[in-house]
Amino acid sequence: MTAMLKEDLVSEALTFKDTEDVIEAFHARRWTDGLPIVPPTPERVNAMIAATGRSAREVVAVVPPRWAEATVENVAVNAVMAGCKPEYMPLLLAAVEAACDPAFSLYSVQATTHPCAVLMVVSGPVVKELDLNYRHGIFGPGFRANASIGRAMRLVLINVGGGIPGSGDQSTQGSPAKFSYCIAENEEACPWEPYRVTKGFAATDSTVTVFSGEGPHNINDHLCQSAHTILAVAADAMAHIGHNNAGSVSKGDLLVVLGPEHAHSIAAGGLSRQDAQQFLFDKARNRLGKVKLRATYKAVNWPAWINPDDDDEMLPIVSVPEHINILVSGGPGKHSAFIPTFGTSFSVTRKIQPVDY
Amino acid sequence: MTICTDAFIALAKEESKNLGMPDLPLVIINHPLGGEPLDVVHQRSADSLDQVVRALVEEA
Repeated sequence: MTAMLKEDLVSEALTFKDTEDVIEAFHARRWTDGLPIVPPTPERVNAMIAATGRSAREVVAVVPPRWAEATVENVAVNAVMAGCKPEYMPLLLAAVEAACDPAFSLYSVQATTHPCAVLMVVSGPVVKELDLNYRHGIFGPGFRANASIGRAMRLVLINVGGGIPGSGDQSTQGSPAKFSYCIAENEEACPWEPYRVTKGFAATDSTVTVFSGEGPHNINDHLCQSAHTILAVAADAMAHIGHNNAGSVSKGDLLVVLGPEHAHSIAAGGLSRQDAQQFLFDKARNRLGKVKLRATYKAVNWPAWINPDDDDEMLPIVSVPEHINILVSGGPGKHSAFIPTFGTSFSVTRKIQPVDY
Repeated sequence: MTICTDAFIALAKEESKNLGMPDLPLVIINHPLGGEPLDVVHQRSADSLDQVVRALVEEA
């Protein structure tokens, strides 16, 4: 079988005797995440490209650390390999473009020793159109759209960007989030405006936001009833010096994913999303003398109003409340999640362009 | 010329090639450097001086 190429495609043609042969060859060349791939035959790749309404050769972005061009075609190849459906392509292209925005610092995110991955957060009508999961188990397995779109991003980072563990990816321990990391907003359970609207997009738009996220850190609170006590528990989970935001303060933003029940308790207490951001900004802090235990702390990254010589100052983990992004997602239960980031990286949101055939 | 620790040779070589400088001289020092006391860092610097001079001369 031919794993790639058609006359109008530019990818190298490789011919194999059967599917098993393709899978083994891709493993041998380190073109996978360690799991078997779907062979990218010309028919499958062309179906992906057709779903974008764009030229196969169009350059979407330049992906570090290899600084190679991500084209519609080579993103489509990786999408096939990951098990995507063609209709996922506009979302995936928007996410690749977002991850390559300079504000995201993808070179550092890819090559660092830190265990960050590229977390994709989807908001808008596309969530239901593509059957993305936004209820039980948002960070877990079992949902094709989330799993394959997240995996396709990782394969693009490996195969186009060169983020191969041990060379272009120097992560000391890596993260299970590097296999696949794509979640969606539970808009119907969100007591505030949709996430995309907070980023300046219309309610009718669909967007994808990328974060240089560590794996999710659980915030478990089954007993607190009031908005402030739930947020106090969240702030405590966020205020430690082991994550990068604790030292990088002014250089990045982060994400809090509230489970619907926590979000509703907070909103029922009369707090807006902005109120919750302000509370977490005020309470999720570390004593300066403790932060200085980190050998990598840099006073230059701290807000100007912090006196670096006063060890009793309480240092926030971001420089302004708006850098604590709050999303509502998940199913029933009293759990939320804190997603620290690479630290010197800002999230980037892109509109998912509707396809005009 | 770039200085890197021996743990990051693969990334340094790959990146110099990606940026169109495959022959970029590399000065390799022992890993790790992060978290080492200042006197160790100074000693590491002194020990690598010959390599740095050689790399600069070769580049010229």
